[in-house]
Amino acid sequence: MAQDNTIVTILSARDKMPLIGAAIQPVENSGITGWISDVNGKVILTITEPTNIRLSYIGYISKETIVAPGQSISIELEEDVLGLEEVVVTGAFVPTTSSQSLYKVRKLDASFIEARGSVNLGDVLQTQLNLKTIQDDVLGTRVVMQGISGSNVKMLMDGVPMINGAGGEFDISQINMNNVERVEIVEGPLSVQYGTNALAGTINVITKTYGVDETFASINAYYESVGQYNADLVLAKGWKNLSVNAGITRNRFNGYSSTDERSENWVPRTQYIADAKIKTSLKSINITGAYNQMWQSSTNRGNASSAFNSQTGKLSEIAKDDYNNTIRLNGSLIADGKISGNQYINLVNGVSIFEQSSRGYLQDVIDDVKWLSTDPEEHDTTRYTSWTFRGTYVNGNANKKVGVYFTAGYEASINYASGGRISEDADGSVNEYGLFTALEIPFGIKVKVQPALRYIYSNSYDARDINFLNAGLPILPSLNFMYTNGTKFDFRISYGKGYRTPSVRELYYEFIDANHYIVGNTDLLPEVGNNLNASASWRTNYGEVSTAITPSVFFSKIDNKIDLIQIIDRETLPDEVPKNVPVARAYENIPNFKSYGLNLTAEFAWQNGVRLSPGFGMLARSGSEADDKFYYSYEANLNAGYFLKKIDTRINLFYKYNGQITEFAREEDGSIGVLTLDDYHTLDISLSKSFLNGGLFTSIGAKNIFDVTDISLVGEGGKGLVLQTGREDFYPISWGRTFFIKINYTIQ
Amino acid sequence: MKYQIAIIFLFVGLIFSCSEEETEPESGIELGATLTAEMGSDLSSQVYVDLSEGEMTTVAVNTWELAFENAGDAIRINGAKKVAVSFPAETDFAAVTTDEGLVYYYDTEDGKLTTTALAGWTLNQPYIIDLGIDENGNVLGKKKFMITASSSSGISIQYAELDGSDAVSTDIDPEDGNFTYFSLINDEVVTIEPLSWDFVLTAASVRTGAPCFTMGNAAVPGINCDIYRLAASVVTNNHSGVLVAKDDPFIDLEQNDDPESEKNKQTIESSNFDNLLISDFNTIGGAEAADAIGRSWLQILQPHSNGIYKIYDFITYIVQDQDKNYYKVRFLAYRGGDNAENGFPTFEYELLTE
Repeated sequence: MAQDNTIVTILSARDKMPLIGAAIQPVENSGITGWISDVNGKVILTITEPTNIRLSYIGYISKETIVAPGQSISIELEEDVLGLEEVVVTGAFVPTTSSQSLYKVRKLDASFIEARGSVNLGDVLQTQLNLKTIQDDVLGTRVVMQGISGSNVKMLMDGVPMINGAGGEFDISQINMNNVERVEIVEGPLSVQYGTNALAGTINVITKTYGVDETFASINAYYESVGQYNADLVLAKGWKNLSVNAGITRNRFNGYSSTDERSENWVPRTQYIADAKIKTSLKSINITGAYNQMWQSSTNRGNASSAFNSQTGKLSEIAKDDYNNTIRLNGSLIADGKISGNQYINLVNGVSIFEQSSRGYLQDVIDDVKWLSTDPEEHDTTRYTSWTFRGTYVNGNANKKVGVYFTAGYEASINYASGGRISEDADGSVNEYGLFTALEIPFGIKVKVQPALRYIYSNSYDARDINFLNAGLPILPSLNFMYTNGTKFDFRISYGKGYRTPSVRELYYEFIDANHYIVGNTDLLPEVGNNLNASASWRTNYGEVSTAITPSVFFSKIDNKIDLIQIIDRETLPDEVPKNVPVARAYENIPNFKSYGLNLTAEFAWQNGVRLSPGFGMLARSGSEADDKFYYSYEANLNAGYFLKKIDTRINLFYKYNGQITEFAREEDGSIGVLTLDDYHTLDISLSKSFLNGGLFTSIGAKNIFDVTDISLVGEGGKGLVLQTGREDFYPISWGRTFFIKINYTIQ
Repeated sequence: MKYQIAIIFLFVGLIFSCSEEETEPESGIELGATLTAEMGSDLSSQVYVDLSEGEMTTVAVNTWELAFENAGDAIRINGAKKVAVSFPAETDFAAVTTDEGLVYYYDTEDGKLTTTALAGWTLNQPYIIDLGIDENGNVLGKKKFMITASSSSGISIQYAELDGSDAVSTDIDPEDGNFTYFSLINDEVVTIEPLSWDFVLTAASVRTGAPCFTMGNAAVPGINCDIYRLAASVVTNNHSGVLVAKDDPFIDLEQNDDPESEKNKQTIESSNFDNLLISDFNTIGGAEAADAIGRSWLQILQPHSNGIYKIYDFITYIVQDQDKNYYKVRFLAYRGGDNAENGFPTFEYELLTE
């Protein structure tokens, strides 16, 4: 049958230029997969009846329209300057877009990572609202989210949990950014999705995946004036149904001390990282195997003091130095995709290993003689291992924006540890098994509701302490509500019951030497939290400016929060422990911890490439350790960028004000001791430009322009975020003003 | 130990090599050495030093509580582990069941036998002894005891738990040396003191804070007054007549724990060690108190938690030993040993011949 051509021309709304390679798909499943626009932005459709089509192009907001056979139309797509169409995966059972996700997902993408001149995850998170990074000379960089410290932040790599490190905290400076596609952050618990730990929030590091038929080699070199020298190499090759990439990285940091002491707040270290990924597909199922391993050697130098050197027989200055070797390994095998039109599965199998070994040496700093300590307590190797097996089945038509989605899944988490700093009583492992289900129900096209549940069984404690519905049920609920009015307005509210099981470390840690008595506690109860998050977004276009205003608020209460508590009555220590040991602590449950906060962020994007994102945050924290008195802290930030398209240059500015923050804890005499960290401002700027048709990419910039180093601490409190540093009157925030340059050379 | 011996030989060698033309030394006695005493970071050992032999004898602290004078009636208690005694009003051994309300007394640091805690003890009078602490600070408990017989051929002692259990009666025969040491925990005589020694590096029970008698009724011994801690000290053998003259170029400066204070900034450069002669001993005058050296050679600095000690290496002690040899001694370090720990004091000494 003769037929007039149906022609659709796809143009950019801004400059009316054709969009080459834009996709057109029928909205209803009609057996036709779709079409791609040609160099003129044109597509000839082979349709026989009026068809509802969706037009999409990367970086532009998708549009749906009905075309009739024989029609010839032009359709303009708006640039997605606010990132509404970008895919997010954290908290969603099926990958979805930012605008459709039930959770407010904060996304820090590759260009943001690049613009920050970020080496590791700590650099990326530094200027974010409601997040704080804290430096410790022994434990590295820790993250504090919603006022809750690191052990309550779930760390994922491609959705696979990563195990915490030394001190029960995650050292985010051990996560390298050179092969990261984006970082997704969800505040509040995602315990139905990810089980234990996700009380304060989840940080999901998504690594890069390379396309099919792509051959690619890339070299990065980074220098920062504080003494950082990093280089990496990435190779990727894609075939029709297989892509492989591998990378190797070396990072060297020379260490930094603001005090001129031999003992440094920022210890020198060398990291080697190897990573590899292989991706293939079996029909419509993607199968991805990923491996990432870091080796780090670092040296914690001590201060030297006068001593008689038994090796040389001379009076000298001797220091105690710890040489640490750390291994962090993450491996995963993931299968995901559609098993039929309406059915989606996601199978995640992962392992995460953290091993730290330390060797104590004595160093004569005058005669440069070094020898191994004969004290066995000065040497240790401890290894933590965590296995995760998670499977998710979703039934619902993903092509439809609106529809019922049913989700069911399982998760098993196997955790064990061994080594000198783990009690001999730690037999076997701390395992947790979960079954979860969720049902996303639409009410009209504007409202979605998702109740979800996770049933938990653990081999090491009674999950019935979660006490769902006051009926002693070991079940965690969550409830999400979302209202959306196209791209103009949306509103989300989510309630989640979070919980965190005592970790292997919290149960069985045993660090006993001349200066320390830090032990786990097998009587710990799991932490149980309740968290309510609400956020709204208004988006409007004022002529050349696209704006989004996003206020959000959260309330959180955690019962039985696990904390390292000072042992006050030293006479209760076991006989073999010196009663005058300087540090004596044990893990205990504290009755409750409360926090609430509000954030207001805005985004202004001009068509000419200027972008401004100011934000303001307030955080209030209280609880049984504060006699329910609230302590407030404030922060504000501004990210600004200007993309000069003509010369392909990007200018970025990152500013953050960190208001005073107070830590509180009950003292020996029952009073509340407080320690307040003073406020400070940070400002970074950078400039990125590409040369050789994108083959060479350079970023230069200045970090910490206000030259912040140590921030003073005032008060009488004996613990807090700062407790583990052992410093008395200041806290090392940064290593001062630096300049960096990063060069990337890519061969396609 | 190996290192110390090596060091001794090294020094002996050095001295001989450069003293060929000097007057012949007295036969067989040590001319000088640098020694490290291994008290341990927990001060769990006492180190007896014999200067003329260049010899150190290390003994464990937690092996005895009572020391009976062989040539007299005095009784010492072990101040290196906070042994103390209290004096119940009861005169009947069985009637003593509690130490409630009693004040504990320690031996004075000057080593005078007339001011020991048990000075003036009487036969068949029950006393209560606090056995002190072990190397980890664990309290070892209390016992009641009384001396039931005493003569030059020995002592008979009866002791038991406060509730009367574990009652023991023992006869103690005097050992060689100045004192006979006895363990109430193991019910045995132990050999502690070598036959010849000049001073001992030992922990001493030191009162911190106010003495209880100044506080009247508010006093709670051990809680707000009479709090005792252990500190490294050097106790001279006053019983055998060892005398010490102290040369401190900064004797007028206040001694405190402020790292910036004048005295704490002085160095070994100001020491008179190289110039001191026997005549200086006579000018300064020899002190016979057992704490003539005492704790005057070291000072913990703030913050105490860092465990940094200032060693007053500019102070020289001229020691007249039991054989009337004169040695000059100075302390160089408190940190030492294989792991450079506190509790391993190093000192050097030289024989004075003129």
